[in-house]
Amino acid sequence: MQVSYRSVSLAAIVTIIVVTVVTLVGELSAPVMKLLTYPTGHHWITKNFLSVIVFLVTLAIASGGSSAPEKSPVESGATNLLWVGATTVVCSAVLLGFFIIDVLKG
Amino acid sequence: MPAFHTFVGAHALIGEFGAVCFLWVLVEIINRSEASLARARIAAVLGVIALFGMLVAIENAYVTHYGPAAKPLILKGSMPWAHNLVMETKEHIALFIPIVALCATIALFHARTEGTGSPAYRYISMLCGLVVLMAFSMAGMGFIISTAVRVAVGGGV
Repeated sequence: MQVSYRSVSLAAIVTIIVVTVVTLVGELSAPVMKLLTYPTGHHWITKNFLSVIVFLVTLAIASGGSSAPEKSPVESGATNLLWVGATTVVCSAVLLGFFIIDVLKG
Repeated sequence: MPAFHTFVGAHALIGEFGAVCFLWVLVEIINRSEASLARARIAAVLGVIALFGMLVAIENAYVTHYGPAAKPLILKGSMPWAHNLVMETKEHIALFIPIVALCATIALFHARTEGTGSPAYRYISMLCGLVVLMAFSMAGMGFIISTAVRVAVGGGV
């Protein structure tokens, strides 16, 4: 297993997107919220565990292949870390926007 | 003092410690040398442990006290948006913080073979800055939520 900038970035991006999507679907669907509550007794604790599991599984899968010698930041995949930041900001904004709309709708 | 308040205090304290650790990492990366990057790696590990610990510290109290006791008070008070908007946003964005911190830490360890001139440090420092901003914004949101409870209780509390 060879952890690289690319694999760790991918793991973080996938985790953040999964948590965001699961949160939005859970808020919009009572059966999904019930499903999220079932394993731990609270949907938020389930999402806690889910985020760690998704990160580790994605990292393991993405780190499975061999990696070429790393030279420039583009070749090494270091620029992928930029996408982790961008995904975090966008997903945070999506969640904030969703809950603002939810409050405004009453 | 009820255990709930102790857990909330521990949650805030551990979370802010994690934020300060990543601020430390950021400063060490900006002024980087082999020695400062070694310190940055230690600070990053401490920060990741703290940021995961921040979530563990509040899990039980959130389920057993906030949901049954504080949340209904807030919803009946004059600041129901403190739960519907601030807490709902806070509890989910908080899940991103340890993941981004872990990503930055793994990248920091990965970069150590590339020397102090590696361009990767630019991107790692950006993630560290994001972790600091997000963690401190959690503290601000926590203040709004606790204010909503005090306002709901009333009586100049």
